[in-house]
Amino acid sequence: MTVEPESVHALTGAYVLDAVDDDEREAFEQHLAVCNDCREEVLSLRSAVARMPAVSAVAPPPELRANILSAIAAVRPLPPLPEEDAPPPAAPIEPSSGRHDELAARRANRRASRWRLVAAAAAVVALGGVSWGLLAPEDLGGREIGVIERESDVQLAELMSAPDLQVYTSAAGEGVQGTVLRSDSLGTAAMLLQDLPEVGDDQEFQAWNIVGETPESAGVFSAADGTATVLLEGDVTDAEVIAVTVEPVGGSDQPTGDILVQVPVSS
Amino acid sequence: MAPHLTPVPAERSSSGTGSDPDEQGRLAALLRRSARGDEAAFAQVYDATSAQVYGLVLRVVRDPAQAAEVAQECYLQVWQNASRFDSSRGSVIGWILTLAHRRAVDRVRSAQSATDRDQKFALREPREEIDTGDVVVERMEAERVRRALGKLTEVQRQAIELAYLGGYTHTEVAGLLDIPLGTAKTRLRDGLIRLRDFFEGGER
Repeated sequence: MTVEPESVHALTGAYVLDAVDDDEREAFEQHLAVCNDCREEVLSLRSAVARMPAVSAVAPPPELRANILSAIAAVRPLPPLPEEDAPPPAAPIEPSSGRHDELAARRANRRASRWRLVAAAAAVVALGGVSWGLLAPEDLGGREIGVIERESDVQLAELMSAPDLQVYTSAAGEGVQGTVLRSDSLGTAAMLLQDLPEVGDDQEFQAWNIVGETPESAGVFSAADGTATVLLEGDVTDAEVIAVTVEPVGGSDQPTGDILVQVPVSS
Repeated sequence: MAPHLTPVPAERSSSGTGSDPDEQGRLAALLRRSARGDEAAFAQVYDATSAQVYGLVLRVVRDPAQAAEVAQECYLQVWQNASRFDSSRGSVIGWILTLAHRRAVDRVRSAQSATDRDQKFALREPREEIDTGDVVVERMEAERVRRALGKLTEVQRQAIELAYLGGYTHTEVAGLLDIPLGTAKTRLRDGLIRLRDFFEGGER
């Protein structure tokens, strides 16, 4: 970034007032992902901003209520974001699509228990920059899809602020785009994926930590809208390549599917 | 310039939709029911928040028809994303207002060239505010916010109004107020910090 840190911090006020342009917002949200002080300040300033509309309350036109209530009847509420420490997802929301919801709930459970999937669709990988939709509630709302688990959030934030954070990307080109973030001092790594293909109900993605000739599983995960952000399992400090394949649900001991993307991560 | 209202100490901890913990808990519960498809619960969320939401959006976009559109989009978004509301990040009304404001600002910015945006901003004359004022607690909350706004310096208040109600970026605010770029950013921040501290101080 070309903006000096001092001036980045000062943007909290403009940010909560939406007094930033799109580029500034994106840059500031990247900064927020790694700056606790700014995150806290943003939360506290938002609470102050939320008080201001009390002075400008105006009763809306009566037909607005009816319009909205009839419009929502046609829209299915999105399921909650899976959380490791939360109770199991509530029973199916709409009787009419019960089967579908049950399937989604089962998948969410499976995902939550075995794999820490973080900030899925909100993560946007771009060359030279990573934008995290981790923070602001309106971002989750606005982008509709995002899977966040607190513990992973924390680990991801730690990773992002690690002084020895290294960023590796797959070769630019067509197909799946992958970025690996790794901190040797923390011993953790995360992978961000874009443009993942759709897979069948009996398939999942599996990440592999490859040292020499030996692939070791680094976790199984699902994607949302072709994107996923995952904390890699196992010891990743010695990894030479991180690769992703499609495997049967539950994962395989050794890769059986074609490699979708590989990211060289040798230091 | 002197504040419009004489600031007085925050002697009572008045409540309102923005600050009352009971009300916040009630709205959060209604929103959880909405997430499960409970339209009646959502109607209650609407009733409790729509005057603030519509009033804010109307301020920013100015045209009542457009304000209604933006408000409707906002509530659809709230309905669809009700399960993703996170109470650790603020109140329900705060969340909804954040969504609404962002939409309103997007709307005026995209319509920027078509609109004359050189009109005055109503917050400058807080006494002239339209106020539903049906409920005593709402009046008290509005009064309290006015007192808080009265604590700001003239530049802080103007900068916040231009940004929040005018939908201008801090860069544009600097140009409109004829102050250096970095200063606008700083005035927005220190103005909000002052508001925050006023609210927090009065409630403890």
